[in-house]
Amino acid sequence: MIDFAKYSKPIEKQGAEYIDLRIMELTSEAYSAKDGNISSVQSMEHVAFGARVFFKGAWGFAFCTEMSDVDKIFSSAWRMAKLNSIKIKERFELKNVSTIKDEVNHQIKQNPVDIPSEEKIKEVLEIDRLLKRDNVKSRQSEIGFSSRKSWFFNSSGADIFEPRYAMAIRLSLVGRGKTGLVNSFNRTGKTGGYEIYTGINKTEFCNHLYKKFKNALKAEKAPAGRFPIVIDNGLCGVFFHEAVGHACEADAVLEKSSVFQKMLGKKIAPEHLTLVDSPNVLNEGGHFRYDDEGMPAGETFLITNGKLTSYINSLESSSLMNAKPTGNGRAMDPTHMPIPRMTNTVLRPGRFSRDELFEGIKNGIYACGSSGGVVEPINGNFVFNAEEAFMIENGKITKPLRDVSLAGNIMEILPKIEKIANDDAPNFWGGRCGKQEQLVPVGEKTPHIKISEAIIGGKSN
Amino acid sequence: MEKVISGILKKAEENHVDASISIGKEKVLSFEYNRDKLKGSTEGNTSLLEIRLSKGKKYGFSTTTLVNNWERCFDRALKIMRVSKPIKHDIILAEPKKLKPAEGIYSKTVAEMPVEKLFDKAEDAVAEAKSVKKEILVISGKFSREEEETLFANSNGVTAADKSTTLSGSIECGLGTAVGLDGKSSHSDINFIKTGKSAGQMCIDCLNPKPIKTMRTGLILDYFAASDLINAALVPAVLSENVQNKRSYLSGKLGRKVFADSITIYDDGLLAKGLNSGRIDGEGSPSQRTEIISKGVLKNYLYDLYSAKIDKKKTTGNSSSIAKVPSVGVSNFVMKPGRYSREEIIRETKNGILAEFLMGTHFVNSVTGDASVGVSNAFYVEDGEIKHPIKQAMISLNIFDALKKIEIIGNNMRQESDVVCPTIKLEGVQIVA
Repeated sequence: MIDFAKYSKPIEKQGAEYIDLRIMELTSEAYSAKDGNISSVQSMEHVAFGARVFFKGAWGFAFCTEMSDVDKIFSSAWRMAKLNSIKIKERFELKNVSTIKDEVNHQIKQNPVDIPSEEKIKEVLEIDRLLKRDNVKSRQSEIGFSSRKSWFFNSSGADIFEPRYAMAIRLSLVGRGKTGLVNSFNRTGKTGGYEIYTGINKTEFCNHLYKKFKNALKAEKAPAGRFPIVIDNGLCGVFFHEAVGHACEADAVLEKSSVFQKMLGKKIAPEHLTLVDSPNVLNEGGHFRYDDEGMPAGETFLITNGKLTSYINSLESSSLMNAKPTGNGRAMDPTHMPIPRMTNTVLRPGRFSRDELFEGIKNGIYACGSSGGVVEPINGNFVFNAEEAFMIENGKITKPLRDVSLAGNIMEILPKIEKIANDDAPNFWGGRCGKQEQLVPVGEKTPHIKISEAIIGGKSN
Repeated sequence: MEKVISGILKKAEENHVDASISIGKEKVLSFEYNRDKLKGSTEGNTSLLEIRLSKGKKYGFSTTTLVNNWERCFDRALKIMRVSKPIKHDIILAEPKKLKPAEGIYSKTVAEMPVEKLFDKAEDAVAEAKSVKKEILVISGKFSREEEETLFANSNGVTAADKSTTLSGSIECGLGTAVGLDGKSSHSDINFIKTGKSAGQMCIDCLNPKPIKTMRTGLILDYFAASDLINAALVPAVLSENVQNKRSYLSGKLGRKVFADSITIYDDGLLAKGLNSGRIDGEGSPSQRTEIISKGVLKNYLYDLYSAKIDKKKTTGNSSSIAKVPSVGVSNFVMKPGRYSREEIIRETKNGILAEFLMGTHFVNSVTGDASVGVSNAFYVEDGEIKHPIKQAMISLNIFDALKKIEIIGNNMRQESDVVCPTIKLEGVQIVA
């Protein structure tokens, strides 16, 4: 599609140590309905080119969106790399760069963007109809599809093509409950062909949201304080992604802004806990074969039987750390540089049934789902909100609570993970994780867990 | 670009549809720092063409980065328009009106600044942060120069162009477990000396944090914390789209006293030097200043053409884009300053918490106003003095209830995002240690 050598060879001759080029062709569509009507249909076609040049420990990077500017980005990246190299004091060499040639074929039946718009409009209106229920004041539904082709070339001979097909469903309901307005959400996002979308039981998906909504209507303000807590698969996934995964990212460790620096090999969690970053979970958001630096993506054991065993690396961080590359150099698109990012966060299942987690809890909180989370990697402090929560009284799930948020510190809370259930499942919540202004799709596969004590930020009265 | 626009307008006419077109071109140059060192630099040129085709109650929207391949984009928009279901009301196109330019949004000095000059500014800021104490580590820093050109046209004969420059710098420092950060954006030429210094100083100030007790007390929010909270809770509540969808706390409260007398808020798309200022909004209507809350009384919601028609009002020039109908957003969302200096606010506080940043404001329930968020870079204030930095704590409050009781508003206005506001003080906030 492009003659990479034509652009890279002249710069290489002038002394550039490493050059790569990423090209993306993205077609995506979004269909939205609101209260019985189509509220918007959008379609986009985005093309982007990004070139990096490495020289004496320094990167130069340039990007463009027009084919006619491609030669300019190579010269601009080279000029910047030279300028930066004069100022950069600590030099390093890039190690283990990709030399792979491959054309990935993800087996799909139907490219989601090839399905006629008429059908998708019908689909979103049908979902909207399923949400027309008692006490719902306003409802919004959105379905989105994308097809993305990515090419990667580098000066060591790598030449990789990998497509990505994805879909998402996002629903929300508004109503008035016991303690004010209620806003409930349900969403999913997966990678794969259109058949993945049609395979989702829409009735069940909408019923699940309506159940959450009904609980929220009667939910009461949560008490604040310290409680034993059981968290469901969804919140568990976000918890490990936010609280542990981000602190494992090697750039945070190198920047000395991770609470896990100098902790490799040390025990940070109970023996029964093993956490893996895995791009291999099919149809999850973080599923892919090669990262954005042409490195093969594979399982990385972050915590093995309670011990911190690996960080999450990009090409640069693994070169700086003398570590094995983990294939986690990801970028939002070619207008951004790849940085260490998670793929799918997988917590290995434990030996307890879900019910056993609730046993013996006199007064606790059961927190489900999450609308995201934030963490300060430097000290391990985190806070995130549960989408739905309930009191646990004498081992039983009782009244629904609203706006429950969890706060704490990773190093303090990990040892308090008392029980891990055996019900691990992909969340398919379609999360996109933001870091340094870059959003990338990620996923989780996690079970229910019980934490002996956590801080619950409840409501003021 | 003119050729593309006339081509699209002509093709729209041939197909008997209305077109609204937006073309944006952006040039970016940035330097990034990591662990005290220059990490790399980026230069980028991007273009984006957006086309909305409409007829009666139907519309189709499509975008492409390949501006010269506009025909494919046009065809997709047309196809979507044809297969889409009609929306409730007719799509309205902006009418040609006399436009006022926004002052102070373009600087030739910034646009023509040599690469080396921006680099020097970045180096100076990093050096300044370290000059506070040599052990300070500059965790990350980003310094950028952007030049943006937008061109808008529609089938009604509206054409407008805007050009702006932005110089931005942000810096994050660390020392032990303490972090300090600051950022600054401006359309005109500035340096980042103060930004570097304040990030470094905040680091020192946050060393050796102490735990605090759970309590109900006053909460002083400096710019980043205050603007974050306003953006998460108040901004969504004034957008007509949310009001009409019953997703706003302020629905049905027009003309009523909703907040304390001290609160006056307006949106101003023509604000001189405003980061989001420009002569038109997203759908080609003139930018304007709109009073939203005057001395606590709700005066107006913000509208685009479509949502205005529903309420039989005029647009307030707050269309955020042609992508969706309706599509309402703020431009520069200004909270009028009060009479207190930041120093006075602290001096008058018997006991309370001062927070520079909040964590997790995207969880704030913008419909109810319930907020349960973490504070970071926060300090304990007692007898009018900052006593010590505090360890992790969460605050729990209803932001709308807090705005009913607010009395203390600072006079130190600042804008680094959509929100222009000073330091504010909320009373009776639950702090969970």
